[in-house]
Amino acid sequence: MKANTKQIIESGDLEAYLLGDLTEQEGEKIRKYILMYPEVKEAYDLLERQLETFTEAYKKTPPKDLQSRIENQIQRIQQFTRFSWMALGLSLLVFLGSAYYVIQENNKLSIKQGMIDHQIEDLQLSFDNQLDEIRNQFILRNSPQTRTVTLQHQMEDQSFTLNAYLNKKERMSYIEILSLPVLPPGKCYQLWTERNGSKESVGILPDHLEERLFVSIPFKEKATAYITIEDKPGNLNPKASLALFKIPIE
Amino acid sequence: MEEGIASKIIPLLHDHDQKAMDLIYRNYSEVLYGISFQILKNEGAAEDALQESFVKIWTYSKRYDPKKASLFTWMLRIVRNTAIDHYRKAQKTKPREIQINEESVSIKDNSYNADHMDVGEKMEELAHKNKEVIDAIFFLGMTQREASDYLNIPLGTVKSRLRIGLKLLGAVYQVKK
Repeated sequence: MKANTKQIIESGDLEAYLLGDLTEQEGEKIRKYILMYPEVKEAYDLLERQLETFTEAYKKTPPKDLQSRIENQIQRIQQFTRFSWMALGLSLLVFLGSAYYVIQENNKLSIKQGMIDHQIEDLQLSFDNQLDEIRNQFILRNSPQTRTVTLQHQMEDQSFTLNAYLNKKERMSYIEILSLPVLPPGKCYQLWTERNGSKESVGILPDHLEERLFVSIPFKEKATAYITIEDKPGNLNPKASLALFKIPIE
Repeated sequence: MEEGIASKIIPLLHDHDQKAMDLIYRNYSEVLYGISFQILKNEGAAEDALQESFVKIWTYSKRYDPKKASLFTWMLRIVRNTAIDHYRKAQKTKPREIQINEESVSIKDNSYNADHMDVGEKMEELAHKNKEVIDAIFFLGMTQREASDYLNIPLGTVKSRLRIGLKLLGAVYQVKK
């Protein structure tokens, strides 16, 4: 152990440590030696005292105004530091406020974007459906296999007229409403089908007819389509016996 | 544990109380200014370095750890490093040269404390070789290895001359006090 402490003392590291010339890691090692070995501590303490005594030899009186210059600079730094903290706090507040606003706006925009996406999808779907309808109507009207029947029902002084188009090959059935008598309030025309005793509502016709209206009827073998007058908003169990029209799908 | 004035200053320094700076100035400014001047060899430059050092002492006051170094050693390191930085900046455009001839040894400077007017003589009593090692390391901020390369002496010799030199000088001034 003696040899070790002698080595440490004579290594020159104590002097370098004293002057702060060692790296943090090297300094840590020396600090440990000083704590561990009383001889090293004694040597280091002696060095500190020698350094203090040695530097005393270089005493020189500084100019009179130096102290006030130092004090002024320290005060300016303190003021600047206080101002910096305030500025930092303010900046932080502004930043947080802005960030909150941006997040809120972003959320709103995301919701809006979602709604617009849905609307575009709906429009696309509706557009596709309309295209399908036009294509189907075109095929139906121009196909030699299409059977067309014109039906009419007289209601007081107005007549309810429609064309029924049926195409078994294309498995399509449509009605084209040409005229539609106005119903009393609370009443509606309901289009429905029946097949093997099972009834299915196709939909409610509009109250007024502004132009010819094509309505698709799901094509089903051996099914029959009916139009009845029902109380609004429609009847889940309409009766074939009250039908204005009876249109066999086949 | 520090004794005397340092034990009064340390708590104030840790509390970031400006009274600490007043006490430090009153008790240590002469030595610290002397060291700064010894490194920079110019009063204006030494004042600037000392002013910057005091600001550093104030700024880093809460970091001072009495377990690692005495207050004086800690402040001396700050002043020495700051002065050496200033010196190196000033020398950047000039080729670096260590003046170790008799004329340039600042120990002969007339500004020295009157009580220590014979420091130069004592220094000269020391072997010239010890003095040049102390000058190179303490006042010019060289590492021991740099001093070894520059003075063309083995690293081990630099270490022993530094140790012996400090010891000898310490003893000389202790007696003088």
